Amino acid sequence: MKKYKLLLIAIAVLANPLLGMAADKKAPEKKLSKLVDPTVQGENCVRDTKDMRLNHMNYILHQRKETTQLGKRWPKNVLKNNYSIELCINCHARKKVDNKIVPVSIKDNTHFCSQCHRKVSVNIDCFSCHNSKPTGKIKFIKSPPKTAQEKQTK
Amino acid sequence: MSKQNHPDKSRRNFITAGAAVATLGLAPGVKFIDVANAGNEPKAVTSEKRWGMLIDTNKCAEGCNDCVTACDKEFGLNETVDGQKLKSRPEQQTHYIRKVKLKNKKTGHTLSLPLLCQHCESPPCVDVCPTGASMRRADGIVKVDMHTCIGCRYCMLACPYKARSFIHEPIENQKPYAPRGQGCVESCNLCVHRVDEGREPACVEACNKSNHKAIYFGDLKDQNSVVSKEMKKQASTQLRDDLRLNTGVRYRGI
Ligand code: HEC
Ligand code: HEC
Ligand code: HEC
Repeated sequence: MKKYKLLLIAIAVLANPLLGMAADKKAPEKKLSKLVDPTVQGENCVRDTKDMRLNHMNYILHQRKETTQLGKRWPKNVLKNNYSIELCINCHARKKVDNKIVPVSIKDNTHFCSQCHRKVSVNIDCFSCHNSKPTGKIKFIKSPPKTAQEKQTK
Repeated sequence: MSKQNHPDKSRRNFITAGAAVATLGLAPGVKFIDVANAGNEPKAVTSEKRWGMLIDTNKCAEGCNDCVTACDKEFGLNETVDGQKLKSRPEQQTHYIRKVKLKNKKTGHTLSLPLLCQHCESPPCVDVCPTGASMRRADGIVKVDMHTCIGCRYCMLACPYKARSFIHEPIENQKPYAPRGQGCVESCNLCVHRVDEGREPACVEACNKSNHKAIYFGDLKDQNSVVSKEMKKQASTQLRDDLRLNTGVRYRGI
């Protein structure tokens, strides 16, 4: 419990500058939105984007435990509140080069997950095991729509 | 006297109250992760099921390697990175399932069978694991949670079936449904990603495709499943049943 509280504090502290970053409309926001797979339409992530920016690590790590230990496997065609790392990669790890959409590996400096982490000195080892490139089997055209509640919080 | 028994009760109360206030102070803007998946949460696996296999060695053909090839392909085992040759020796390389030939020295009778993780009810690999990475799911699947595996390889020593392997080299282009990486122990997980989707493991599928049909797969606790029915028909054996591990994989004809 103590650890949990410490983590929350750490997140709150770390997240504040990020929020500020997003509010400052010009520079970083432009950079980040460019990172999202251009084939994905919509403004929302699997959960409210603002919330994801702050809390994605909690959500992913929580689902990871549920899936690997308890066998709760979220169906891949459900996007809403599904924090499977395979899905993140499928939506986020592509970019446009010469008008072609190509997969981006974690070795590439422009990978969605690493660009932001590098800025805040977070080092994740996930991609030594998980494939950092989309495999092309799953493809989404639209991100899930916002719920009324999420619209209100914005 | 009572004062001595509770020397700092008031102090303790003060601390508890302080903690509560601190928690309240944190709460605005911070959401608890318990609600993260509200709405579409799938069910956890339960012990109402126990996944298992029956392997008929009379039907298993000598020289046929289809189950092994299918498994390697499913998990992308021993694939090269950037076309470079694997550095690890063949005996170090990963096998989830392998073909074993047995010979009775007296009669000269040989038989061939696939050997894989036996998915024990009381698995020695889980007993010895210092981190809890080696685990048995409620539905009987024994596997490694690589997120907590530190690569000590104690489980490899404990397993009487030599079913586990260690990943010696960096890996790339993993299958998205089967992540794996250097420094971890791995083994057959009964194709957990397939089973959770209601499909059968890759080796079973391959064996049926090659028309040998030597592997029956299903729920051992369901009296009407194919495995249970087949096990009722004829005697089956557990490998090293003297260890009383109550394996989930059984053999016929040995
Ligand atoms: C259906 C496609 C889709 C999936 C799956 C998906 N995202 Fe997103 N994500 C988006 C979109 C669209 C945005 C909004 C981008 C924007 O506002 O420019 C976004 C935004 C984000 C942001 C905020 C980026 C910023 O601009 O600050 C983060 C962080 C994020 N996603 C992480 C994740 C993680 C982690 C996962 C896996 C659990 C994931 N996403 C899965 C589509 C997706
Ligand atoms: C908007 C910027 C941003 C983006 C984009 C982003 N992250 Fe993060 N991530 C962070 C920050 C900040 C932290 C550190 C939070 C902390 O330590 O409390 C973090 C932490 C994490 C952690 C926890 C690390 C640990 O050791 O506890 C994981 C896991 C993670 N991110 C996964 C991802 C994945 C996967 C993606 C790509 C889909 C991604 N993140 C994209 C900002 C981002
Ligand atoms: C040592 C290898 C390894 C590392 C490192 C690793 N994983 Fe995994 N991960 C796995 C394996 C293996 C599975 C599959 C378990 C299963 O299917 O039962 C998995 C499954 C998952 C799942 C559930 C499957 C899904 O797609 O929903 C999530 C979520 C996940 N990992 C997140 C992470 C995150 C976040 C990190 C980094 C902090 C990470 N993993 C690092 C090996 C690894």
